[in-house]
Amino acid sequence: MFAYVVRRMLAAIPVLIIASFLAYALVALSGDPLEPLKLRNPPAPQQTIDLETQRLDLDDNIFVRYWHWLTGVLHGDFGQSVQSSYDIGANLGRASAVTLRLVLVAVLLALVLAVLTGVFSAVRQYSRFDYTMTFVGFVFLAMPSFWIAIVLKDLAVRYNKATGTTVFYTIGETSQNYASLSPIGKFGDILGHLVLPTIALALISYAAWSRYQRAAMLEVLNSDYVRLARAKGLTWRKVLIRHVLRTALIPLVTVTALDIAGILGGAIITETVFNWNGLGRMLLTGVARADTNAVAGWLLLAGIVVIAFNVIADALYAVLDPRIRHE
Amino acid sequence: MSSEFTFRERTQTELVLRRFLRHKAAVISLVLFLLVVLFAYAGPLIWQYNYDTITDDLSQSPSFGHPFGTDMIGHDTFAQVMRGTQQSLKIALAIALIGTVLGSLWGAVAGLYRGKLDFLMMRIVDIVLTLPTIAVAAAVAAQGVGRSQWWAIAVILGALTWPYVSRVVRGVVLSLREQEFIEAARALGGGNARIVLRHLLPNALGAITVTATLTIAAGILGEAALSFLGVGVQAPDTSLGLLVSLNRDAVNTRPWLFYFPGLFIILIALTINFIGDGLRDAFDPKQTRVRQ
Repeated sequence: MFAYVVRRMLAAIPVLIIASFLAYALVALSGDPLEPLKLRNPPAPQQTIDLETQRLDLDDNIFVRYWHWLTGVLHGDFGQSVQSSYDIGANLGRASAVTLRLVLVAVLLALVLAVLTGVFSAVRQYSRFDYTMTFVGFVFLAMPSFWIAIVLKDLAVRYNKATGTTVFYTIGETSQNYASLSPIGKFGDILGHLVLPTIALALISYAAWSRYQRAAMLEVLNSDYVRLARAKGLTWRKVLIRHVLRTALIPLVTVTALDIAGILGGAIITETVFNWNGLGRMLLTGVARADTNAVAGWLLLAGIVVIAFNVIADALYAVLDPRIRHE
Repeated sequence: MSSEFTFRERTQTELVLRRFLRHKAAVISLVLFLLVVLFAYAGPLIWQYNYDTITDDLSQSPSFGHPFGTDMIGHDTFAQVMRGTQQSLKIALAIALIGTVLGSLWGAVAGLYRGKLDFLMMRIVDIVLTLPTIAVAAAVAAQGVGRSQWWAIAVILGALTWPYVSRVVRGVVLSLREQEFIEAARALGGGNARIVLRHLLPNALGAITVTATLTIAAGILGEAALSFLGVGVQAPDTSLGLLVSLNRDAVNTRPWLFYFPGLFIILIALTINFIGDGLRDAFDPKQTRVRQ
């Protein structure tokens, strides 16, 4: 299994290299980071522009520039930012720690809710619960993630105001006084700030995933081996958990891995609504500055996260389906 | 009388249509969706205010004169939602068109030729799918040629949507080409062109239509997200996503500014998803389990 995971990660390297080149070229060719300097009134002296061109490696062709960037990244140097004091590598590290905890918790929450809903909907097919959850799923699927986030935030603000408390944190990923808190206080502070963004981010994926889980459960419930398991006299509970659920989780694993890129995109939006200083703000700042190195580094990191989730999904298949063995 | 026992042959289209009309949620959704389209395109011709008209009524709550209220500058929100719906629909349809045409061709070629070409084409799909759509779109849309033009947004999002379509179409083509009726057509001497045009395409059309429909919903949400991040449609023009974004701080004080455009996004995406669901059932009755 370990060898398999390593092999899959190695096989992903060409994909990452091509994807990062595409990303790099797209960003580099679509904007000019020196535009503000050139359009400044009075115009910046030619010397300044030449120095900036040199510093940002803008005078080479795109392939040479990408090569410089890539070799730099492999040595842990993410290159110069348009704003010279901005350390891209350090910011990527800090921001991804903030965003990935949001993504991970949201994915877990969405999965748990989706599995529960899917199982109950399938077992009680066409019941009131099933119909209600089907409709709820369709409605959440139709909601833009930022809309849900803003509504949740507004409800929380109203609740806080009405009760005169701060039960819900609606701004930022930590409190202002985070640094002065005790370790337990810090943990609680992080959790408190996670609640609303996590729910907002999880709801969209939950809607789609619960539909998949329901369909997969129905398919397995109607299969011959489940009938056999029942005929052997196994309890319903045992059949449901050991035989039905285990098999019916496989499609969900596939869909989850496929959706990770979309969830990262959703996290950008959720973070914007809740004023988090994570990967979302980093990307939008980089984009506004036409900061090729920062945006390309960001997209490379996103690619690595997506591929890592896909490898985990492949490894999970073997756990769920004994017929699949990764030698 | 023999006519009592004769049956008129039903064409495939008639069968699909009949099955679609039996799906209540889909039919209601189709009617609602057409009403929204009418509202967006015919509405501005009748309504007394333009989306950029500045009235003397500032920050008014909904009333008979302004059904959706006004903003602090005096724009009539009803007129703005009309214009926003128009722009959002236009962009979403363009995204769906670009994504579906590109994706169908890509997937069909990969599925038909298989082998090395298929492997190569699908790795390219993998590469595009590795990058978060919104992030790439934001990076390109913020700069680039024709920035914040509606067609530029459609091209960017369409260019990131086709991989999803191509995966679906490839899967359908792969399974179709192995089926007996294709083999029979080949045995009867049917050439490649005939098999593709007469057998593969008509049979794949159902899956393509359903995917295209769902792509419109994804397009509406994608445009809204980009405009929300400030890199989509720009003022003085407007879109549903931009309206929600501009009015997000009014959610508490002047909720009508925030909720009406948002409800239109949800209404469009919801009806399109139901229409897609109805089409799926209509094209492929095998997938439908008995409804009570």
